[in-house]
Amino acid sequence: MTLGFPPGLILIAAAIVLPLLRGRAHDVAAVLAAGAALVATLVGVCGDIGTLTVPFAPGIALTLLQENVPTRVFATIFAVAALLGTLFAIGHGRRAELAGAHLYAGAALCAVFAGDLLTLFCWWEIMAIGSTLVVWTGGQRNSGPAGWRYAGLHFVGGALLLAGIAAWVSGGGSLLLPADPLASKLVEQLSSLDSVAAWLMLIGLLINAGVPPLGAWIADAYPEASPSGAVFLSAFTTKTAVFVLIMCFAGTEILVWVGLIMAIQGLAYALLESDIRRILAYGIVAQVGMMVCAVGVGSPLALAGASAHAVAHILYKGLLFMSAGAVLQASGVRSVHETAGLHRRMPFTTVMAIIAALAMVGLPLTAGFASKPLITSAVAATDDRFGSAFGQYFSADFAVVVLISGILILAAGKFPWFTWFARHAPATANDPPWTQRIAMLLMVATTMVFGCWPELLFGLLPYPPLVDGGSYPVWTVGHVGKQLGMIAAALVAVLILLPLLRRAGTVTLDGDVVYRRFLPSVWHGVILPLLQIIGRGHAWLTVRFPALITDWVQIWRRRYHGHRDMSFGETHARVRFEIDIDRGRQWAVGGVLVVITGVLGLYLILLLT
Amino acid sequence: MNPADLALLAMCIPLLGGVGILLCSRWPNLREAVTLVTALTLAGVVLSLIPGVLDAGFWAGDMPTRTLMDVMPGIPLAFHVEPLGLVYALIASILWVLNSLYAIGYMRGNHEKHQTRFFFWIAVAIACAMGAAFSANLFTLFVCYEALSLSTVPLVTHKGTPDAMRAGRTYLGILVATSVGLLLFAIIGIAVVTGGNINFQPGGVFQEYLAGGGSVALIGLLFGMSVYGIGKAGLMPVHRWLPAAMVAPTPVSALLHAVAVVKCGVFAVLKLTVYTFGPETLGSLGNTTWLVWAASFTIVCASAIAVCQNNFKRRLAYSTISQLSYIVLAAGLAAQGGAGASLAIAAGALHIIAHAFGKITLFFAAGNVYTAHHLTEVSQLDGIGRRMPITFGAFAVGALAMIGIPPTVGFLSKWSLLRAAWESGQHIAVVALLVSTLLGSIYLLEIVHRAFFRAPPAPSPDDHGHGDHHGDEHHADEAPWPMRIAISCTALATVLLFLFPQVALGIVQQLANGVMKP
Repeated sequence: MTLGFPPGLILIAAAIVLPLLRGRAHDVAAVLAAGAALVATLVGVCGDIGTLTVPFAPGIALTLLQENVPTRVFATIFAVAALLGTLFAIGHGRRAELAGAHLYAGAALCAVFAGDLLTLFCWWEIMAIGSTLVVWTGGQRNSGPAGWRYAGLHFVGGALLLAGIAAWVSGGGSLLLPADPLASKLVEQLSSLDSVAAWLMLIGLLINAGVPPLGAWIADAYPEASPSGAVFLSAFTTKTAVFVLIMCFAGTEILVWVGLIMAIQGLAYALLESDIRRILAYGIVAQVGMMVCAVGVGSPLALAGASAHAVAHILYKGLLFMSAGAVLQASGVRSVHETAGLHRRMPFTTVMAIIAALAMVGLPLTAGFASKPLITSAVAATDDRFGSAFGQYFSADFAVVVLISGILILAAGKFPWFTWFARHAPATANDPPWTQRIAMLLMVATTMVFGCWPELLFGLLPYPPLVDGGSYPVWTVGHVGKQLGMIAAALVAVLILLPLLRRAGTVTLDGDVVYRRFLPSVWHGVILPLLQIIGRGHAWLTVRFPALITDWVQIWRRRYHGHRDMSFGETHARVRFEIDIDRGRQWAVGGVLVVITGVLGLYLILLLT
Repeated sequence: MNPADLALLAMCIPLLGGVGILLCSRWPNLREAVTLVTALTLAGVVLSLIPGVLDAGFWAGDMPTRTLMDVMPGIPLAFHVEPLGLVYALIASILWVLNSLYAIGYMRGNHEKHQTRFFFWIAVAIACAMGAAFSANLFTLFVCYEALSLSTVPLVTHKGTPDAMRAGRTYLGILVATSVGLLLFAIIGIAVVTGGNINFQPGGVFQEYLAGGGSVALIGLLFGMSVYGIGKAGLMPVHRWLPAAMVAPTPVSALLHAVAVVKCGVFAVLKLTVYTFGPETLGSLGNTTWLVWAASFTIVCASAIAVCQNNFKRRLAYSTISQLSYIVLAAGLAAQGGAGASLAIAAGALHIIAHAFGKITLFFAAGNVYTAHHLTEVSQLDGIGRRMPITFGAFAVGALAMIGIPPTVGFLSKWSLLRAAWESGQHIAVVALLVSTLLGSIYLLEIVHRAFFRAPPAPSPDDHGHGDHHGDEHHADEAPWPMRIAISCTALATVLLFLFPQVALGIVQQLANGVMKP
């Protein structure tokens, strides 16, 4: 069967209809729409995607549907995340939140089918609108300002991307997005980073990918979303950025280092944090860093690894955010230090969180188990592609291994341990209602399906990982042993390091402090007063000063010609009244003529000399 | 019918409508019906001009021109139809329909006085706008431009308070001073230099003069005098009249100071650039880069000032100044000549459309808030969006159009402008557009954020019965229905123009083709 249209459109249509519905109809419609989008996506993924091109402007046609090489895997996981997120959200979030979430997920699901840069950009910006709505409807204390910052940063990122695309087209580039990044002239030219266009586009993309310091919006905004909103947010924005990076910048050397910095920063900040969902948000930064690193390597195996890791990441991070959301929803507390002892009251959620943490570590039978080795072996095998730069990348490989161990510690240790098993009085809280439990169970099921049958996942990948003509060997003694060994090592490390991780109530400083604290204080402390002084000076020069002169001229003239019988004070008051009415015209005509004459005079002088 | 005759008809319809409005002053419902019927008829006439302009052979022959009369020998009042004028006429006439609907709700909802006078002068102003849009030479454009300034003064001073009178004088003072002091002399200069040729023609009128070894500096000077002489384009420092005009009732701000009057200014700048000076001529001068800088400066500076404004309408006014300079920037980019010129002209014309629909939506929202709750300051808007979901939903869409985000028409013009900026190598323009995007999302999203996501202020004890003319307990949350319909239509239009841009882009493309005609 041929798909024929981008399945995200179903979600976007739902986003328009949902605000009009109430109660159960609203919930049922939301789930049905997300289900329909998933079915449509699977139809396309299993069958034929086809193409759809619509004429737009003279000389520009938008390719709304095209089968890009990484499309199948990203579309599938986005559709799954949209459905499970919706299932988790119904009955809880505000109506506007679910509408925003559907707009957001729909745009992401459309973006991966885009066949040209302009279409891609449109979906990119619509995602920003939808996700801003999700943050704004979060209902947390700082949802408003955080959403505002989020929107501003994303619109600027979008503008940079757009400027880059415009420069690219003006430089003779084509708007078309080649379906295969490894055989694409676009990637070849952009990845050399020798044009302004490439840099502008890259910066615009990296803002969305969450690269520090511009990526501070992740930890700023995600914890301010509602319990269900954060599940959506964790899935789409950064992963769409990874998708576009694959499509446009596969094999860009600098991304290896950018990814490593992200991984280190995310890990370090996660360890310092105490807000549950902020820990998870920094976890996203760290994990996306690994994907960005793999994109930078750019070999088929690395791109496959980045995509596979996106799948695994969306699944277990979604599950972690669902667990954290359930805690927040049930107890209203955000810090890991205040919700201890919950395992008695919330056994189901506890089990889910532990499974998610183990999936993050890469426990056999979970998707993480299948995806992680792809990235590590791809980074290790970089000498195939960059023979001369092997030394450079060797260190990168080593760093990835170190980081993965670090992430293990984080995942296996911090979040479940503090939240559920630290010894405190149990809070009054209960497991989430059945719809949310089903959503969590389905997340686990999907993770396990990909974990138990890795060939399902590998079949979706852009470049099916093959070794010696056969499927990539996941179930080897060496690999299983290595993963189990790492988990064991991590557990030991956690037990040793736990006392060190017990930090209460710290506030971490991130890049967002620049625009949350520093820029506002510069604005209020320096720029605004300056503007006011300039404004006052300007007003005095244009209004007060001419008026002062004309006032006195008129007062004296009338004193000698008109009102000799009046006292000076009376004349003054009376003339003043008449003058007040005239004032606008005087300064207007006079001031403007003076300024214009000045400007033109300057122009003449500049021109003639 | 000859398109030029239709253009003449388009000028006469609002004038006739104005007479009808005066005659029906005793019967308000009839009077409003006359306004609406006139507006609809005008929109129909202007719409009927589209197929002719889109015709593939449009530029092949001479444009049919209709001379009304010769004021002096060689200086006729003449009209013709060309794509740029059609763009301006289209937005003015179509939005007049919606604005009339809106104004009915606003004027009645606020119990404004002198409503007949109000509707009459709006009709006259629209007639002037039509005249300017279809003018076939510089003199006609100048006459209509001045008539538009004069006819809108009674609307600016409508309230009759000393503040309004003073604002009216500022308004008239700046507009007339610049146009008489600079534009008129520029026109005279052009006439002298070209031997009396003040007609608008593709490619401009200076080729012979330049071929005969004319002064490059003089043409540059005339261009500068024209741009600053057209005060309605709001290029800093000639922008103060626009915030002053905000004292007018909101429908005036919406139709005239977001569409008809301000667009007359930028339209005139573009028209002179295209049809009097000619992008090729200007490009060969090599001394017009200053306009790109001046426009970029205005874009950034006005946006920064808008961030500081607390008064709703003043904030929108500064936003308008900034956005008008997008179009002046397009003219500046076109004046660099080369491959970017046709792109830049198309971008400017497109932004005339995009800004008209987007900004009128924002002004409608300001008027709705004032009518329903008598709020004028941004800081009073906390939580108002939940009580007025339609108004602020539409405002959010309009705001996206102003920032230039898809799926709104503002994206199309921003994209074209960025393209043109790169093509002509003016990087400062790119920077200005980026900064303006940032500032725009700050000052517009603040309103959206306040309206929807901040808690409303606690009601004061004397809130009920105070300021409510009907004296009952029930406060109307939303504005009257005509206003809601109008704002929904304009917001919808910004999205529809993005989804179905073929006609708009077709006209704009036709214009760009004409620019490159030798």
